[in-house]
Amino acid sequence: MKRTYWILILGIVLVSCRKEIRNVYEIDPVHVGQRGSKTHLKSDLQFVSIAYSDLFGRQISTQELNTLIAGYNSVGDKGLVIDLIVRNLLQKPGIVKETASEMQSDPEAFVKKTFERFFIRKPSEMETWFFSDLIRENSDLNPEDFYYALMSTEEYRYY
Amino acid sequence: MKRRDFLKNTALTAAGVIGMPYILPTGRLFAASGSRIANHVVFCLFAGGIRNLESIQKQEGNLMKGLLSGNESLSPDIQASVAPLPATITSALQSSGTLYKEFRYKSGPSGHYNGHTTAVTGRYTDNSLSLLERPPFPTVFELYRKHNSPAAAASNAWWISHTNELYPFLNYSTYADYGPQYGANQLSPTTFFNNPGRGAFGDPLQHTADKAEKLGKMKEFLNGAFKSSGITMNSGIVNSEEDRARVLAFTDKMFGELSAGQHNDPWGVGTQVMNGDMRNVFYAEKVLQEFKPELLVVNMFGVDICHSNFTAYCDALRRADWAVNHLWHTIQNTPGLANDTVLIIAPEIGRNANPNTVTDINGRGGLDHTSDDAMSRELFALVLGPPGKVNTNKVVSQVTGESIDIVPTIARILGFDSEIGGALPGRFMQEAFV
Repeated sequence: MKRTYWILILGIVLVSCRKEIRNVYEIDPVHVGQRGSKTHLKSDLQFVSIAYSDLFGRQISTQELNTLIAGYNSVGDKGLVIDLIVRNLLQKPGIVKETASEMQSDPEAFVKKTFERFFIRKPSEMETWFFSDLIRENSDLNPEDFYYALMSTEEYRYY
Repeated sequence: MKRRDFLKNTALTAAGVIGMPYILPTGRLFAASGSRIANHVVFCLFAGGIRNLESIQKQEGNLMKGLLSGNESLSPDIQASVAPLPATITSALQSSGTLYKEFRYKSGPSGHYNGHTTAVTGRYTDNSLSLLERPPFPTVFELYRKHNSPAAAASNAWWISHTNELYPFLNYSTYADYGPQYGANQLSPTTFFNNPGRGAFGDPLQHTADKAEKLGKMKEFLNGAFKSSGITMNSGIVNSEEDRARVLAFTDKMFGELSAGQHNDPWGVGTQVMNGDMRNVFYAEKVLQEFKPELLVVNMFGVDICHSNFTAYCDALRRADWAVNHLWHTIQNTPGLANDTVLIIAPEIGRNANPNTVTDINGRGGLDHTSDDAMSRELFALVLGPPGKVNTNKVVSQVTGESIDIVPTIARILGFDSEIGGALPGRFMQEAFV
C-alpha cells in the first residue's frame, strides 16, 4: 500500500512538472533603418537606377541608363549633375506620386510614406513635425518638391 | 591719443595696406605678391599623337595652315582625300608667338594617358600609372587653385575633355592634401551637349526663388542630421552655390542653343566637317566666353585614327589646326581675355617612324606609338600671348623644352611659381617670353 502511494505521488510530480510545449508562430523582427546605418556610397550606376525606380516604380531601361551615366561622367561637379538628373526626371511623365490634396489632407501620412519610399526608413518625430508643418504652412509646395528635397540630400547618396 | 597707441595704430595700418589685395580697374582682385605675365592661360593639348614629320616638318605639305606659316601644297593623294575646309579665320598663329620645333616627351610610356598625365602634372609617369585611377601627383589645376593668392574658385579652372571616359580623371589627383577641393570643373561637352543629353538633361524642373529657398531649408535640415552621423560625401569637385548656379545657367543656355539648331554648324565649316575635336574646342570657347577662367585646358584626339588610317590622320590634323586657329581668334575677341591670355599648344606624344601593316585607301601605312621609338617622343610646342610679354615670330629650332616644362610655365605665367618653387622637375619656358 505504501509503495503504491509513493508511485502515485511520483507520477503526479512528473506530470505536473512537464514543460508545456507552446508553438509560437510570428514574423521575424523587421529591422527599421536608421540614417546612421547608411555608410555605403551608392555607385553612379546605383544612384541613377535607384532614383529612377524610386520615382517611376519600375526599372530604368538600359538606353535611358546609358544616357544618364554618359551625362553624369561628363560633368565634374557631381552634386550639380545629380541635381540636373533629379530635376529632369521629376519633369517626365509617369512618376508615381500623391496628389497635392492627398498630401495636404494628411501631412503626417505623406511624410511617413515619402521617407519610407526614398530613405527606406521611418521619419523621426522631429522630421515628421518639421515636414508636416511645412506642408501645412506652404500650400505652394507639391509632392514633387518633397521628392526633390529628399533625393537631393546626402543621405540619399548612401545606402 | 597716447603716443604708444598712435605708433601701434600707424604700424597696423601700414601692415594692412601692404598686405591688402589690389583691386584692379578690371575689377579683378589679387594679392600683391606673385607677379603675373598674364591673367589667363589656355593650354591646348593638341593630342592624339602627332609626328613632327606631318606637323612642323611638313612632309605632306602644310597640313597646319592655322598654326604654321607657309603655303606648301599637300601631297596629291592626301589633297584628293581630305574634306574641304574654309580658309582659317585668322592668319597663321606662328607669327604671334614662339615655336619650339624640337620639343620632347623624354620619359615614360608613350601612351595617350601617360602623355596627358605628364602634361597636366609636370611629371613623367611610368608603367605603374593606372588607367583606372586619377594621377598620383597634383595636377596643374590643383597647384593653381591651392597656391594662387587668393585661392581660386573652381569656376576659374576648367578641364574640357574630348571624351567622358578615362580623361575626366585628370581634373584632380589622389595626392595627399590636394584632390577634389582644388580640382577643375571638368566638362566633356560632346557627350553631354548632344540630342540624347538634351532629352535627359535639357528640361529640368525649375523652381522660383521663393520655392528654392524653402527646398534649400529642407535639404539643410536633412543634411545637418545626416552629417552628424559622421558620414562625409564624395562628390568630386564642388562649386560654390553661386558658381553652381552659373554653371547650371550655362548648361541650360547650351541646351537651349542646341535645341534651336545653333550648334549644328556653328563655324560654318559644314556639318560633315565639324568633328569631335572641333566641337570640343567650340564648347571650350563657350566656357571661355561665359566664365573667363584663369586656367583652361582643352584636348583633342581625332588624329589617333592614324593607327589604321594615315590619310584620315592628315585630315584630322587639318581640322584640329583649324579649330585652334579659331580658338585664338575667339580669345582675342573676348573682352577680359584679349591681350591678357597666353595660349600654349603641344601634342602629348608623337608617333612611330615606321608604319604598321594597316594601309588606307591611298596605300599609306598606319602609325602606332611605342615607347622604344624615338619619333614617338618628338613633339612641337607653340606659345602665343600678348606682344611685349611673349616673343613673337620666334622659332627655337634646336632641341629645347619638354612636356614637363608646361606646368612650371603656367605657374610662372599665373604667378604662383614661387609658391611651389622646387616642387616640380621641369623648368620655365623662358625662350618664349620677353
